[in-house]
Order: sequence, then structure tokens, then C-alpha cells
Amino acid sequence: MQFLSYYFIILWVLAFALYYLFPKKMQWYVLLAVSLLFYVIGFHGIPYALLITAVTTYACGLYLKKSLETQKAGEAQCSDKEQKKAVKSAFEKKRKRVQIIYFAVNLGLLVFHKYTGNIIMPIGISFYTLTAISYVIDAGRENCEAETNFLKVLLFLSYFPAITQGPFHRFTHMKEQFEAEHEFNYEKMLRGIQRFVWGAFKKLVIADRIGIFADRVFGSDTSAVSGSIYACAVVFYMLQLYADFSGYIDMAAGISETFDIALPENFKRPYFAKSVAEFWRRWHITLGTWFKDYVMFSFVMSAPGRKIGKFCKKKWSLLGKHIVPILGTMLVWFFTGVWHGRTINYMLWGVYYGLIMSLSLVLEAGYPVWKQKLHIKEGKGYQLFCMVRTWAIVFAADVLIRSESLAQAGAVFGAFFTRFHVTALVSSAVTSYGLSKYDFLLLFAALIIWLAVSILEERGNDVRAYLSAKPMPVRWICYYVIVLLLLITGIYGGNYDTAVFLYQSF
Amino acid sequence: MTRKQLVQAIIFIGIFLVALIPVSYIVRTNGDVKDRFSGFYAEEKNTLDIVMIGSSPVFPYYSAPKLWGETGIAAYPLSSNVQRPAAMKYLVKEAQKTQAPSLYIFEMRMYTMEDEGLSENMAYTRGVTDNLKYSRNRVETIQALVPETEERLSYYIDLFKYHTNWKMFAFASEWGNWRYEKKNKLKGFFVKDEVGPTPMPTAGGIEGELAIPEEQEAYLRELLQYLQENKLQALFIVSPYGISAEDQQMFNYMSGIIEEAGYHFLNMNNYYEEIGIVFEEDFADYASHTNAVGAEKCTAFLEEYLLANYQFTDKRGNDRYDSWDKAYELWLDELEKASAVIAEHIANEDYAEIEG
Repeated sequence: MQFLSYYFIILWVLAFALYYLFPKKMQWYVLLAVSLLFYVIGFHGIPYALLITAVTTYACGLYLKKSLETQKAGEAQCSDKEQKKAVKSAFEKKRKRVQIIYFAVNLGLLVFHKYTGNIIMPIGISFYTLTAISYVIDAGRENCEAETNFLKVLLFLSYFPAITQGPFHRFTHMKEQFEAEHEFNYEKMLRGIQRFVWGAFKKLVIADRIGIFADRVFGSDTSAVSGSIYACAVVFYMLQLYADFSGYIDMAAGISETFDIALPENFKRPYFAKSVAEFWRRWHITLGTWFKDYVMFSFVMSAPGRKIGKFCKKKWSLLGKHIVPILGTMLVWFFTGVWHGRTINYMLWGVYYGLIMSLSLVLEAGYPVWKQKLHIKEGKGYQLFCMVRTWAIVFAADVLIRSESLAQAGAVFGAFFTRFHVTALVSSAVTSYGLSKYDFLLLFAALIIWLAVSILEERGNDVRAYLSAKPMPVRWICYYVIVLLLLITGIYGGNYDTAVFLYQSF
Repeated sequence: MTRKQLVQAIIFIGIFLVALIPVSYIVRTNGDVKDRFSGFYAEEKNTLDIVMIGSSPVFPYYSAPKLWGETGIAAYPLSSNVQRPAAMKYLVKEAQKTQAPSLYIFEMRMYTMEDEGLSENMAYTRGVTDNLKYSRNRVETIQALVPETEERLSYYIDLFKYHTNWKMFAFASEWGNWRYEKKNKLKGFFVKDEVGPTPMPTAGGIEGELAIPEEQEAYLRELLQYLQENKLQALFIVSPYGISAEDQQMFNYMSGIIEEAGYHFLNMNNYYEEIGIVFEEDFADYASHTNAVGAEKCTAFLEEYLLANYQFTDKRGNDRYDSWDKAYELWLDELEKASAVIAEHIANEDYAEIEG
């Protein structure tokens, strides 16, 4: 079931009414029931994979809790440090073994469904599997208390606004909110609806419209498309991916907000970033922090990681300190690429970013020195240069993942250099890829609106609060414009299947 | 939630829903059907003498401007392509909202066809539903024509279907449809200037009866009942076309039901000679629809029949009918041009190509 469907809207309205009519202590039960109903109605039943993950996550969490308690009790009875260390080590080994089995089962399910290509992939498996793993690791690290109520674990994993595309949420953050008592608040409800509508606008007016052009260009005979049209299509794809995914996140966050549950932010205007590292701190934020906390940190703090680090620092004092972070970075980016897709394009994409980020790590220390030597002042010009540089790096990466094969990616890069033909952008050729001149005009207007909102947000303004403070006629006109644009110019209806989101396939 | 917030929310939603109406009228697909229906709504209240209901054997056959210009009778076609008989009663109800015609004319060709076949193509249903103004009658029409409940939403709110026509907002001429009232220059008449010749059919005048499809008979009886209950006068006609013996017998069957109910039934396929219709020259598409020359003859015949059987007041000279005078002038012009083109087609044996 997609957010942009009649059935979902009806479900949302009913769920909202029940949530605030139910006794406050039971509100989380409503969320759980709706989440399971969301799966049952929308995807014809609750997949066994989700149930296996929920049961194993619950059981593993409880085991870790019990193990830690027993360990502490044992340590309390020890007379010296060596004994305590031995007790701790014994319990840690056992916990590690159980966690390895847990990871094997759940990552195995993920790999089986995602990478074998023969089985229908359960919706959200990429998201709830990593969410579950974060809970187990946090329970093992004592960053959160393991939950004794299975239904709360199930809710955490299956929470319907976030199940299909995230954002990745942490157990502690969500548990508090699920258990809190929520009073109906009209302003919060309005804010949630506003955010939902804004997300739908980005998805249906911008992302899906751009997608028509990008799909046609990349679906055309490679030799017939000029480099400038490819360049336009890639830029469009960059915007499409952003609008589609952030649009979904806005819808998810908006829905959650109406239930007075805040989801973590997942985007912070990534195209304002001045470096690739900053870009990835602004894009799919929760995935980045997940990999940082559970892959990078785990590797760096692991016994092998520390051994390698020690060895490298001894052997190559200057560069040596970077080796472990570089290895961690490459590991993170390799898995990030693999997580996004099973083709070689995605793996290369991951390696590409891994190399860029590793290079940044090594060169970072030298930047202030070079800027001084080259008399570079960090004014607006320099900041613009940094942004454009970041866009160029992202652009090159997106050629890889948008292309249908490595061969096509190669042909696209070739077209940039051998037949750019910039005049194609102002010829009738540009309107032969599914978008009329009216579509381009509309896109331009919609992108201007989006840019204006982004600039306001980048300057620290809460746009919804900013609008709320305006006189009623001004507010209402803004709302009517967005909703009418969405209803009239949105890409939806019998000819389109655009209720599906791009990141859902990841 | 305070009372003020509730009131504001209701007003906000109310204004929005009201604003959606003209928006959806503007984006409804362009074409002669939209022009015809919006032209009907644009007619001044209670100025029509006749409303003609039926499918495509109406608007290219009967020239309302000619009828007006020669007799002062104001007739308007509320017809669409392959109009399902099930829709006719609802179109009468729709017409009754703004007009009080002394006669309804129903073209009966579609009654010979199975409704299942007609309902398979949603365009035939939407030709009616998506050209009515939003109203309770429109909702009832949709409920009657669209049996599957889950399919009705895009009929109720046709914006969901036609929003892809949003580019129409770029054309100032389309904004005139914001109330779905835009005067039709030829009063709904459609000028055809193609020629598609066929030999004259021989089934006209054949006796014997053949029952029409059950559901169509039910719709016919429902329509007759509605007309009787509301004391509305009606004439049921069949326009000249490439009629088969089977069709003719079905019309004979229908005429029995209709005349029993006290209404006239005029099968023009029994009067080719009187009409003066020439199948080799007067049809645009091989005996399916007349061209402008054929339409003039059919209109003349119908005109004569109406004057002989019904009472109408000649309204020529009445200020309220200025647009009708203009329509007549325009029609004369269009007829002259079309006649010349038709003559050229015949002389060159340059005949119409039929799609599909």
C-alpha cells in the first residue's frame, strides 16, 4: 500500500481518529494494529521475514540483557581485576557468538531476498533489518535497555510510516515516544498534514515529472543522444532522487507527526554541501549514522581494527594513523553500495565514494596550509566553487547508478566528451523525451518554489512556522497553490505507476 | 481544537472544494461534446422548445440553426458519442433544471445494442458523466452507469482523470469554461463535409418485430414512465442510416412499446424518398452519419413533421434569441462551404477514410 493511494488515506484518517479516542496508555497498541494492517492490506499479509526478524530481535535482546545482568552479578562476586576480566571476557564471547548467529539469520534473509533475484522481496526488508540490528547492537553495548514486551519490539520494527523507506530510527528514541501519552493537538496535526502535502508535491510534481525525461533519455539508443541531453538527464536524475526520497520522508514524517511521534530527520538540503563528506552528512542522514555507528565504529573498535591501527602507526607514522579510518571508510562505502543495489554499478558507486572520502581524510589536514599558500579566501565565490565541485562529484557517481549497465555508463561519459552539442538543449530535441515545453516551465516554477523553501530552511527558518505567522489570506493562498499544483499537475492517474518510490527498490 | 479553528478548517476545505469545480471544468477534455454540453448550459433559462437526446445520429443530422432560421423553433442537442440509453432519463432531468422544453426528441439507434458492449468502453459513459455539471443528478447518473463501486471515484471527481490536461490553463480561451457555460456558435450542430458512399439500404419499411436487448427495454420503459409521471411530451426517432433488417425489426418492436405509452415514433428509414436522402452522396462515413448536405435534408424533413404534429411559437424577432440568429447566419455560411467541398469530393471520387 502506497502513501499516495485512496486506501492509505482512509486508513490514516481512521487510525488518527482511533489513536486519539483510545485511552492514552493504549495508543501504541493502535499504532501496532495499524502497522500490521498496513502490511496485511497493502502487501497481502505479513511476510514471514519480518516475523522472523521480530522474534529473533526480541529473543536476542532479552538474551543480551540477561547475559549482562548475570555478568555484572558475577563480576560483583569477583575479588580482583583479573577475575573480573576473565568473567567479562567469557560472557562477551558468548554474547558475540549469539549475536553472530543473529546477524547471520537476519542478514542472510536480507541477502537471500535482495540478491538472489528469484524471490519477491518483502517491502522494507532493507530498512527493518538494519533497524533491528541497531537495536541488538545497542542492547549489547548497553546503549539501550532490551525490551521485555515483544509487541513493542514488533511495533519498533514495523512502524508503518517508516517501514518502506525509513528513516532508520533508534529504539530508545522511539520507545519513549510510543509509551508517552499523546493529547490531540490541532497545530501538530496541521503541521503533519502540511509536511505530508509538501512531500507529495515534491514527489508528484517534481520527481515523477523529471523521471519521465530521465527514463526516456536512458532508455533511448545510446548513440542517438547528445552529451548535453545526457548531462541534463543526469542533473534531473540527481534532483529526481532527492525529490522522490526526501518527498517520501516528508510524507512519512508528516504522517508520524499527526500521531505526535517525531521521526529523525533524514535530509538537510544536501545540495548546499561544500564537500562530499558534508553531502553525506546531509543526505540519508540516518543511513550514514547507522553505518558510522554500527560498521565503522565496530570495525575501528574491534580487536583486529585496533591491531591494524597499532601496526600501521608504528610502521608509517604520518600516513599510518589514516589506515584504519580509510579501511573503515572503504568498508562502509562498499556495504553502502551493496545495500543500494546488487549490480556492479552500485558496487563501483560505493567504491568511488569510498575512495573520494578516503582521499578527503588524507588531504584534510593539508587544506588550511594550501589555502594560505594559494591566498584562497573563504568568501561566497569559494563556497560556490565548493558546492559546484561537490555537485560534479555526485553527478559522476549518479551516471553510474542511473545507467542501465556499465557499458551505458561508459557511453554516457563518452558522449560528454565526444558529442556534447550544447545547442540540443535549446532545440526541439529536448522536448522529444516525454516532457513538453509546458512541463519544463512548470518544473522550473516548482523548482524555484522548492529552492526558495530550501534557502529559508538553510538560514535556520522553520518554514511551516514562518507561514503560520503570516496573515490568514497569505497562508491560505500558499496552501491552495501547493495543493492545487499537486492535484492538477501531479503525475498520477491511470497512465502512471508513480505511487512507487525509487528508494523502495533499495 | 477550538471552535474558531474548527470553523476556519471547514471554511478552508469548503473554499478549496468550491475552487476545484471550475478547475475541473477547465481541464475536462476539449472537443465537440464538451462544447455542446457547455453550450447547453449557456443557453438562457427556459428558452428552448426542444431538447434532443441521443448518440451521434443527432448532432451531425439535425441542424438547430436551420430549424431556428426557418421556423423560429429553438432546439438543442444534448448528445454525445455512443450515448448509452441508460443515460437518457438523467439527461432529461438535467435539462429540466434550466429548461422547460415542450418536446424531448430521443434518437433510438443505441437501443439495438447490448449495454454490456456499450459499457466496456468508458469513453461512452464518460461522454455523459464528464460533461455534466457537478450535481446530485450527476452522482445518480454515475451510480446508474457505473455498477462497480470501486471505479466510481474518478467519475465523481473527474479531475483525477483529466488533470493531465492542465496545460489548458495556458490558453485564455479555455478559461471561458470555468462555469461550464460557453455559448456554442452553431447550437451544438456539427458540420461534416466528407463523403462516404454506400448503396441505399433495402431494409427500410420491413415488417416484423424483434425484441431489443432486455436491459435496453428496461431503460426504455423507465424513461417512458419518467416522462409520463412528469407530463413531458416526447418524440422518438430513428435517423436514416445503413439499417439492417434485424435493426428495422427491433425498431418496429420499440415503436409498439412507445406508441402504447402514447408517444409518437418516427423511423426515418421508412421515408428515404420523402427525405430525398441519397446514400451515395449525403453520408460522411458510409451510411453511418450524414454530412452537411444530408443533414439539411434530414432537418427539413423533421421540421415538416414537427410543424404538422406539434405546436410551437415562432420566436424569431425576440431579443433573447439574438445568438440563434447569429447561429443561423453562421450555419448558412458553413453549409455553403461544406456543400462546395462535398461536391468536389463527389466529383473527384475522393471518399472518406475510416479509421480502424
